[in-house]
Amino acid sequence: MKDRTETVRSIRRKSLAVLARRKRRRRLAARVGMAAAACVVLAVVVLRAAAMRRMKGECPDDGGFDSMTAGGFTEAPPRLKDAQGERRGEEIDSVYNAGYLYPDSVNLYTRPPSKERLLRAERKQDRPQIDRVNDWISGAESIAAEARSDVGSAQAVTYVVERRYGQTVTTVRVRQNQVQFGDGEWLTVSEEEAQAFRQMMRDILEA
Amino acid sequence: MRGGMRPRMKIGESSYRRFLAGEEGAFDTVIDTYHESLIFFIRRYVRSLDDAEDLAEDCFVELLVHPYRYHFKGSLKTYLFTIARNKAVDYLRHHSLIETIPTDAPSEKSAAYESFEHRVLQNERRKAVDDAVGRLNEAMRTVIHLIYFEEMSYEEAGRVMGKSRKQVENLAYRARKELRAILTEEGWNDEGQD
Repeated sequence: MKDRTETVRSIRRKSLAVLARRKRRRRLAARVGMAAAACVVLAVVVLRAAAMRRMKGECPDDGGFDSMTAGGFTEAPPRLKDAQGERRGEEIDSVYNAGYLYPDSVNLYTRPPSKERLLRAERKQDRPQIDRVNDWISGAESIAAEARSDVGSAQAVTYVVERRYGQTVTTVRVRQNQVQFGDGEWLTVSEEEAQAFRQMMRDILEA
Repeated sequence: MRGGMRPRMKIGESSYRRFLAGEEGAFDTVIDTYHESLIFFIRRYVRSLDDAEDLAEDCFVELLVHPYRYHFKGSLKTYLFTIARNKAVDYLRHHSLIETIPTDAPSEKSAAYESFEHRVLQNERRKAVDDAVGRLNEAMRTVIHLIYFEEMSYEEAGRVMGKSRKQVENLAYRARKELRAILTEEGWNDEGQD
């Protein structure tokens, strides 16, 4: 057993150690608190700056929101074969294989047209097609694209692109080199014009 | 057995008041007043005398580090013994000691401890009672120690153990019954009881 002096000395020594530990813990807690507060302030500043940039349209995705519902082919789409060979079929297949075509789905993609899409259309040299595309998509609140196989036809795939203006929906369908606006008659268009519409739909799906 | 504790309690509390007032050496008086009792009490829980000493010191460290937690509502002794019991129980929990009856082999005791024990227990009869108490379970050991060795009231013992007065009374009754059985077994009879 310790004697009295040793006991008292030991108690005082332990007390000083405990008090020093408490002081260190308080200092550390204060530093942690200050660092946490600084992180919060920094996060607020960064998030506000990002929000401001989005409002000014500096972000590449200046459209609204994407919504996608998945559908799926129950079987592979028919390959298009015509007098011009299998090129068109390959083109469709490549888009299908990339997973972009879902004939049974609706509203695959709803999104207002982006500046980039318009710019890509403007870069095309053929003004009539570009004018038509621009005219068609301008003012639309959202554009949805889907692909459907014509019932009973093994030779055509129809691309359906819808534009929404509030409650009004306007549809353009493209099959091979024919275009239908809304419920109007099918118009035969040039290969380039048909290609422009298919490209537009692909752009929408890819974006 | 009772009586004679009041002066010690008064010394302890008045010394503590002087310590809080900043008087040098007053805390040493508090240590002198309660140190041995605390060791003896904690020894009921832990096997090692060294550990009991360390834990007793820790009780005073607690008092020094948090001097204003004691509000002079109960006695300083009760307050210190409450700390001691909590520290002993934590120690047992931490060291995962199974609650067994501590039996000290004679060779374990140092000369200093024997002298300490002699001072505290004073005579052979008390020593026999002390050994018998060591054979009780933890709760009975504690209540007997607090009431008969430290001469606390049932209320004070209840405060230390976290029990009501009634619970302490019942526990003390059962502990006495058990003690009587042990002492009878050892050959001690009821003659000359304190």
